[in-house]
Amino acid sequence: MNESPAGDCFPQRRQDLICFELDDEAVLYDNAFNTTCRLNATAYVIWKLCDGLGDVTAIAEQLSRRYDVSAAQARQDVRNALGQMFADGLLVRKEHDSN
Amino acid sequence: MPKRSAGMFPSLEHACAALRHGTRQLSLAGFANVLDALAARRRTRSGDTPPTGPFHFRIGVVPLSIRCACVETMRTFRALYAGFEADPPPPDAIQIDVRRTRAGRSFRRRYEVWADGTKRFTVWDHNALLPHIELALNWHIMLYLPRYYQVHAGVMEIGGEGVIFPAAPGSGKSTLTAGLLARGWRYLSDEFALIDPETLLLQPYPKALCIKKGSFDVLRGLGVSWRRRGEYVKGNKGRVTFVRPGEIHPQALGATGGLPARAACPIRHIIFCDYQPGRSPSMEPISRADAVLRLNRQSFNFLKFRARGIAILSDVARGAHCYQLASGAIDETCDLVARAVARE
Repeated sequence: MNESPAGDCFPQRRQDLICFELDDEAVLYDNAFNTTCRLNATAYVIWKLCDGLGDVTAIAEQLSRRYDVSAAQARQDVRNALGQMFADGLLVRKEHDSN
Repeated sequence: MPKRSAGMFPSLEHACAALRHGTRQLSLAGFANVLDALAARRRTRSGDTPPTGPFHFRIGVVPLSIRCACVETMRTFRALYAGFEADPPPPDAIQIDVRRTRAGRSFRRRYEVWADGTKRFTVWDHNALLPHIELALNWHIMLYLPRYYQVHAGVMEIGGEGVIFPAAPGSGKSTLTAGLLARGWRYLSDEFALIDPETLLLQPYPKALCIKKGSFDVLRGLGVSWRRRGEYVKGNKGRVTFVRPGEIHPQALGATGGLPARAACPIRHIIFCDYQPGRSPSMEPISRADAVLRLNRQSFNFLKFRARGIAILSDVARGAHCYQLASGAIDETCDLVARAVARE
């Protein structure tokens, strides 16, 4: 089951994944397990936005501007996508000290 | 002379040595093996190859030397691959050796299919022998042609452009290959897409097409003669037959409007096929990323290539149009494929 990330989670792309860009989609290769994963266009945009500096809300805002969707819709889509990506091992959580 | 289990002699010379040392060491099965071995030694004129081989071939990029104790099977194999004989014998050939033995207890005749010195199969029914020779050969292509990235696919060429049909077993790729061959497409393989990692070109392996019983009527409809055609048993796939590409079209291997025979070609179309009887065929484009993922699943040696394999497939996909084909009746399906390829 994919658990949606909490709002204070700062997702970051795994640096050891090899990314093959094909048109506006991508295939990610995990050398540790010899597995592959495909990201469609929207998922690829979200994955690229996961730089460890922005939380779910920040990512959703950028997505909302890019695709002209409501902020609430964008937040829901981002949470769903990030939940799947965490389950597939494509991201790591970067916790920031709030103080 | 070391004692051996009944009937198990690696050669006629060992059997004769056992006889000289005392017949108590030789069982009935052992005697039968000796007689079989003597029968297999045909008196030939000096320089003639006995009908059991060895015979040497180069089937596209696949070098092969084969010896077969079943004369009928050897004769059939030579007929299927007439035109591919190699002289001198290729030094890097895959060695297939089919030996006839008898089971120690039951005295029943059986065949052992050896490839490059390793026993791969024991076959009790001689009607299953040819499919097992093909299986052993395919197995060793996967092992001993590692320089090519290998995808399980039918492979054709039209107008200088390579078209591959990656699919799981039973998806109809061999039948589709036969249908397109009948329309004058050049035939590269019905089993392996051999991709050169350096040039990304398809290399030919124009083996005899292996068609399952469910498509025998399709073959007859393409004009393939059924007179004295052998039918064989291929494990759980049931009855199959083998067809020389030239039986379907005289220019099956090239040279009419397309590339010369045995020439490599670039991949320009990747068409994943899936057959269901009675269905109206349809074809939809798919993304290149999706094609890469699915090609990887149909790859025989992705474990060897790893990240480099994905890079190869990505480069191939970037230069190709990618589709999912839901195939049905052969004529309609071939029409659909031909239109899609011509349009691009």
